[in-house]
Amino acid sequence: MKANSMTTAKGSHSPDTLARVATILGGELACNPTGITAHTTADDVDGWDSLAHARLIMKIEEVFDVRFPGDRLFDLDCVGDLVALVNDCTRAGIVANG
Amino acid sequence: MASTVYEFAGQPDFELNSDRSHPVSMIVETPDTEMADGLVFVIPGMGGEKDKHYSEMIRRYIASKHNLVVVSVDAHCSTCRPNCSTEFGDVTIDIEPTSIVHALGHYVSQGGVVDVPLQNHNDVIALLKRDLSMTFKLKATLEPPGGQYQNFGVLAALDHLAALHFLIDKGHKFDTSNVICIGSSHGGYIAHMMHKLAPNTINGIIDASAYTETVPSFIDGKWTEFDLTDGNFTYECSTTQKWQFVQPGEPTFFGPDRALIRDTVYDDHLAVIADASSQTCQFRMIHSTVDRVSSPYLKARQRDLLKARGFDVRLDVIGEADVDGKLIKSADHGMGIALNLLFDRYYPTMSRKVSKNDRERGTELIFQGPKLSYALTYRQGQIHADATCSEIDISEIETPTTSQIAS
Repeated sequence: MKANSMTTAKGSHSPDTLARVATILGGELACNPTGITAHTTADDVDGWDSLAHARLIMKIEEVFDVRFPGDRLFDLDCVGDLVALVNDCTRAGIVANG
Repeated sequence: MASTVYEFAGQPDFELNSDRSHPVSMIVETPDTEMADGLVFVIPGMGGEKDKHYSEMIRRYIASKHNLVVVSVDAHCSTCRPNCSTEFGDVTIDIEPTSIVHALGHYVSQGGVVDVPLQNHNDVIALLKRDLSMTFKLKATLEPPGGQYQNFGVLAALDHLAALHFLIDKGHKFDTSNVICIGSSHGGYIAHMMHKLAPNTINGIIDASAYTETVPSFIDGKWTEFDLTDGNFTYECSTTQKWQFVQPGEPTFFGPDRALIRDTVYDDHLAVIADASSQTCQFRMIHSTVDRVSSPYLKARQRDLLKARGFDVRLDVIGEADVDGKLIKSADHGMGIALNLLFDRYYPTMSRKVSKNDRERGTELIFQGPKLSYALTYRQGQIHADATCSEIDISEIETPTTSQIAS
């Protein structure tokens, strides 16, 4: 993994969701999840390209049983944004097939 | 948003007079509105953008952000790469036996020891894979699912048009005069072919690095279309196809007529399109000056010819200095442009126009080549075009008189 850049995450994010997202990210991109923070960006992780991003998004939707709004799928600058999106969808009850 | 999967029969292969045994599949993303502003075909090239997760993201993004029905069609021979997703079936690799023998010869000539019994090709491959310090090139044929073959362009374009007609007939609610096609490389080429074969049906084309005519390496198995690396093996692949280049007069001969119908900048055919159309189609193209796959010269020619025929055309030509790491990630073929960003850049530059499509008009098109005439007719209620390819009638050619011959 490359050095983290400081990117400010949008919205809210909880430590628990962050840990779960980091674990998923580590599994999908074969990287160490302990090094992933809310500020980690795609540029920080080897192999996090657009195809890997798509795979990651689908995996997170599956694990958290949520369906992200389509117009926000590419509006994610860092892991913190992803965590905030998961939390927003979970709170709003935007579940898969719902 | 709702995602729906459909299957329907593909356009029969009217050039080779054969029906299709493998159905066409499509995935349709519908926005959460009563009436969508139009429909978009997202047409992947041969590369990674065919990935099923990436395709789903693109469909959901465009549907949600732009209130459009977004469709991915597994058109004829679209699934022809083994390293892509298998949502539409598996591509198998047939290794050419003689290349296995050649690789074994290379192994021995480089000092490799044959210390196991070699009873079949699999034994040879297992032996060659033992020593990763030695590399081998093998010729292979890609076999798409369902016995499909590389037709190049015509059937894939007509399958997309059939998909559109299918969705209209199914009652999907969208502005049928606002049909957009977006694709890069081969996907962009298919988009232009759709316009050629149905010029009143497509309102806009967005392409990145699309070529303008047949790429010979895709239709002649002697060339390598695609390299697949597996450990110390490189498979030099070509997709299975039915065209041949040695027997003129046979339907399978890929001669000038076959090439010209697949040429999106052949001006005689552009004249046919311009005459038959209301010229509503808007072209938004982006191309690199150093593209080694798709000629920048031919792209500029395409822009000029379309403009000359009255179309609304914009071609953004980029070079190394334009690589910004965001929209344009490289100056190579494809430019690393993400389809969502490409769509966001160009769709707002297009206008919606009220226009009847080719089925509503009952459009008839005749494209003539040196020997063959291609005819297409669209009829209400039919998802497929009536398409024929026949020899040009020579009975109407006047026989010269003796005096004309003498002079």
